[in-house]
Amino acid sequence: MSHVNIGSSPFIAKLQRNGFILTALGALGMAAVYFTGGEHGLERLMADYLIGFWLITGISVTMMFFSALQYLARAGWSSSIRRIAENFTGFVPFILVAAIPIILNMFSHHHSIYEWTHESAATDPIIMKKAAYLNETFFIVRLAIYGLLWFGMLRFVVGNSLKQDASADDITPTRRNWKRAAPWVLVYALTITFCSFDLLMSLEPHWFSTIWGVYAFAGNFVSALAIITLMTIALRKSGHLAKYVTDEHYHDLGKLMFAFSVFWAYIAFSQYFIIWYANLPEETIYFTFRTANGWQWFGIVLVLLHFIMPFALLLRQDVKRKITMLKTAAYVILLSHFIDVIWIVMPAISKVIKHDGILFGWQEFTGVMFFAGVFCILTARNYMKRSAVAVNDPLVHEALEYTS
Amino acid sequence: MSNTPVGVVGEFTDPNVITHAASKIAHAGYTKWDIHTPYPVHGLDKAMGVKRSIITYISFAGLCGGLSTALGLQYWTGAVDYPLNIGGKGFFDWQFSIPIDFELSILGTAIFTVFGLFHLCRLPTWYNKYQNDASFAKATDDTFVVTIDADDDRFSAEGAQQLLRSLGAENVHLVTAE
Amino acid sequence: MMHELEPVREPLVLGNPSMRDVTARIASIVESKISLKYLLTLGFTATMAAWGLFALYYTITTGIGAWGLNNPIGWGWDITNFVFWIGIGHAGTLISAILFLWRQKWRTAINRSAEAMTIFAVICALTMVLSHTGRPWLFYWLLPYPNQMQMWINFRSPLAWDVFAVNTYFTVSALFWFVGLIPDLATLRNYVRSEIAKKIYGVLSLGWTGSTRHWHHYEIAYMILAGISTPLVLSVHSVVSFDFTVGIMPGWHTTIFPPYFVAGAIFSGFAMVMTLLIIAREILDLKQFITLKHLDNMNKIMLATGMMVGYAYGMEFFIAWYSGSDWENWIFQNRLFGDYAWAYWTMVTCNVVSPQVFWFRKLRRNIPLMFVISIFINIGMWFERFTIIATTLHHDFLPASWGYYSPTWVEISIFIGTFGIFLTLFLLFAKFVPVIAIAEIKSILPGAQPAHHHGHDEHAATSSTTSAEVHS
Repeated sequence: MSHVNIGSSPFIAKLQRNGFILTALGALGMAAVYFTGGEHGLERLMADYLIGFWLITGISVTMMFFSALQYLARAGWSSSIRRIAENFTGFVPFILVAAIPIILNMFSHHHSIYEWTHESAATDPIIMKKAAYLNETFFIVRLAIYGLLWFGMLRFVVGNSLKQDASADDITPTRRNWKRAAPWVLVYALTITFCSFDLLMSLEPHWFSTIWGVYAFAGNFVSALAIITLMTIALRKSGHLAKYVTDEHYHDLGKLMFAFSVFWAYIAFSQYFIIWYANLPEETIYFTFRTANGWQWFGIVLVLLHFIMPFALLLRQDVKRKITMLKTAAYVILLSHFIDVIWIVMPAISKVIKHDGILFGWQEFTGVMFFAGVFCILTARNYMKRSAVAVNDPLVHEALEYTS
Repeated sequence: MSNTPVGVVGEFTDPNVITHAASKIAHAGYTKWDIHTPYPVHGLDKAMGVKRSIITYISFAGLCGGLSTALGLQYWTGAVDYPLNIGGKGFFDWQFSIPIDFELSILGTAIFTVFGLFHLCRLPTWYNKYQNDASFAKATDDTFVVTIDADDDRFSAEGAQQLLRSLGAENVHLVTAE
Repeated sequence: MMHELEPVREPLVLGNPSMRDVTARIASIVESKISLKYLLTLGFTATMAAWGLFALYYTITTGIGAWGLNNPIGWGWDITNFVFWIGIGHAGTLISAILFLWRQKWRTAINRSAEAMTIFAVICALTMVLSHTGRPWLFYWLLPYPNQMQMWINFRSPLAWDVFAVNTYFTVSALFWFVGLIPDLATLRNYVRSEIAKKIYGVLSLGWTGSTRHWHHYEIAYMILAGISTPLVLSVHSVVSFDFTVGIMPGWHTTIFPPYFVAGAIFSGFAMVMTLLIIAREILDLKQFITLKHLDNMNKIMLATGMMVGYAYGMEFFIAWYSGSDWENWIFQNRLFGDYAWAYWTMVTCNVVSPQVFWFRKLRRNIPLMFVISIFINIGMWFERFTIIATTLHHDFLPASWGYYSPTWVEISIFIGTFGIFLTLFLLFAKFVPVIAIAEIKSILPGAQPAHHHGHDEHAATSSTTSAEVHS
């Protein structure tokens, strides 16, 4: 089948233009955060940068995981929309570059958002015990390892998918992915876990939770699904994928969003409940702080938006085929993922800068705008370079025929 | 043997033919008729014009019943009838009520769903007016068996048999009772 | 180049049977003469069950003192076996519900026996917890009922949640299984020749006729049951994990336990399904329906869930160190090098190391090998629960009370007995109930479904107008 090249379409042009606007606004906004932030401008800026960085890194990397998972399961239904996920991985090669400000910030001593880099950490009896893991050198080495592994995953998994575009007869690249997707899934599991420990959990260096990696995965995966859904709807609506996407795909994406927002709720509740019930001081401090001082509203909103809304919106069978409902659910999921990350990061920052009460305002939208803009630009670039559908995937015919 | 007609029976074996036949029979205006199949044939219910099942509402009622029972039980016993301080937890906290709220919701849904299904399918009914017909027994093996009941307003033994034959049915015959 | 010749999709049912063949092949198991081999096996497993029941009788008449429990080790083989059996049950629900929702068609060959296994495993688990209460005849004390003391059960206790979770699980699994069985029991009713058997299957099938109007309700109901079973299965083992996690014991109180227990349950359950299926497909000659492809897929799931369990072991260790908590840190060193290190290393070898052979396609399709590995995993998962329970309890916060625990013959006999109960029930099931979901197998045979029934708006329009006419 012939390639689906939509790089020159108005939709992609719009995506790119909006990307540039968002990036510019985000960058200006972040500058404003720094200059209006007074004494703690740098911390506030870096917190917002970290929020954006984590959101887009996590989602981009999870897009690769989505692709690898489809190969691993030899899923037929998703073969015509898998490329949509793969085209969202444009940020992966730039992760390490984008991490540089976070690394530099660690060396600005008492302005670092990571408490364990402060001078006081050297005498903190709990942080001292973790110094073998929480130190600047090892942190940088780890980030570099994640970045390189992710780049390798991009070259292999997404690379093979792209190579398949060349020919419908020789399915060697697809077979390679079928065979070798599993180790990359393993790499993803470990990197996303430790990256979430490093970037997020270590913001509160006394605190720990074994489920943290799973929690990070759940939020990223459901958000990635929401973005894939929105893109699938947009591309089909603008007439580009008419041949490749059916209502059945909406149905399945809806089902997946439903399942994984419930999964997120399950993981989030498990973590909260176990810590709440046992009530051990070193653990419960995390939630005590986040369920008081105004932060509790974030928790309540999260329960509503990250769990109850998607659950109620997507529960019914027929709704999963209705575009408005799907889109609403997807936007709600993305918004709630953003709120989730704020709820993780900002209370920790308010402790670092000893700010009483809630620390949330227009500032928190700047970092995410910047990174979302970059994400859009790089995605648009991918559409200009390659086919929007993996047309030669040996299972693509199943995607066109199946019903749920 | 007085020949009270029970209905007309016809056999099909091809899923495409039966789907086509189903919409034709529905179009012809019959209401008291059915197709018996060994497994659910996709889209056949739609072709027959079967209304969407109300079982989801029954299940939902079960969910609400289970959930309110769980909340009510835990709240009333813990905070109203015999408040007791255990481990410094509240008399009733939403947190610790979640496991039982969840389990009883599921239990309520499951029981309502299954018994709702039994009610909607009139199970158990250990008698069927076609049960002694040889064709009818094949419906659990490999044949799609159409039955058009004699108490349908449009029923005529000749007309129904004619229709089934024209749609490709085999072994079309009238079933009678004493 | 050999690879290029393989088909992209392997068939799920071999030999291209007709629907009548499917009916006959599966239903005839019920009618075939009971072989001596079968009777001997049944006699053996029934003896095991009887021996276990005797040990239970001994426990009840003597008291829990008959077991090897001591202070500080108040939970031993009883709770280990309970968690073990509940875990075994989970694969059944997983196969029937989760794979159903994910439209994994290969599940049809194995879901029926996996669901049966769930129910029998939960029966064994219930046996373990009931005997563990010490006075099982007072089991109703676990339920909220008005009594002379006007007191209620403590809803803050994870043990009370357990009562609700396990009983819900048993009820829902049994209902789900029975609903799945109804069409097949009807097939048997029409298939068997013996008048008595016809009556029995007739009554059990509730008069199912295969009416499309009924299938319509049935399919939605089945979907709902599958839908609620999925979170149920997650919740049950999560609630079991709460028995450990909501307390503050080092090694027990850790947030990853709920998903980790669920993954472990699926892992051990698949291993048990594997063990039984390999035997069943040999003895009942079901190679046509349970193909190497099915076994291959199950091995992949075992590898995946084995890795998840390995991930959880790793996280526990890392966070135990990272937490900076001396208690956590010490308990994990104790697992590695302490009195129960032998149990810990058995667990790691069986659960994490042994499934690694399944990375290779050749080995995933090697039946003797997968049989051995599945038994290894069963052993490993039992030791996982034992390790969690024993290592935390035997060295508690008070060094003066530190101890060691070994089971007595009574506990060992009860455990053997639960295997006897499980296998006896399974053998009876395999003989008298369709071991493979007949209706579901038929629905996935080539040509079983209309060629282009979907996406035809014309069609939908026709049927909606028809229904409007019909019902106005």
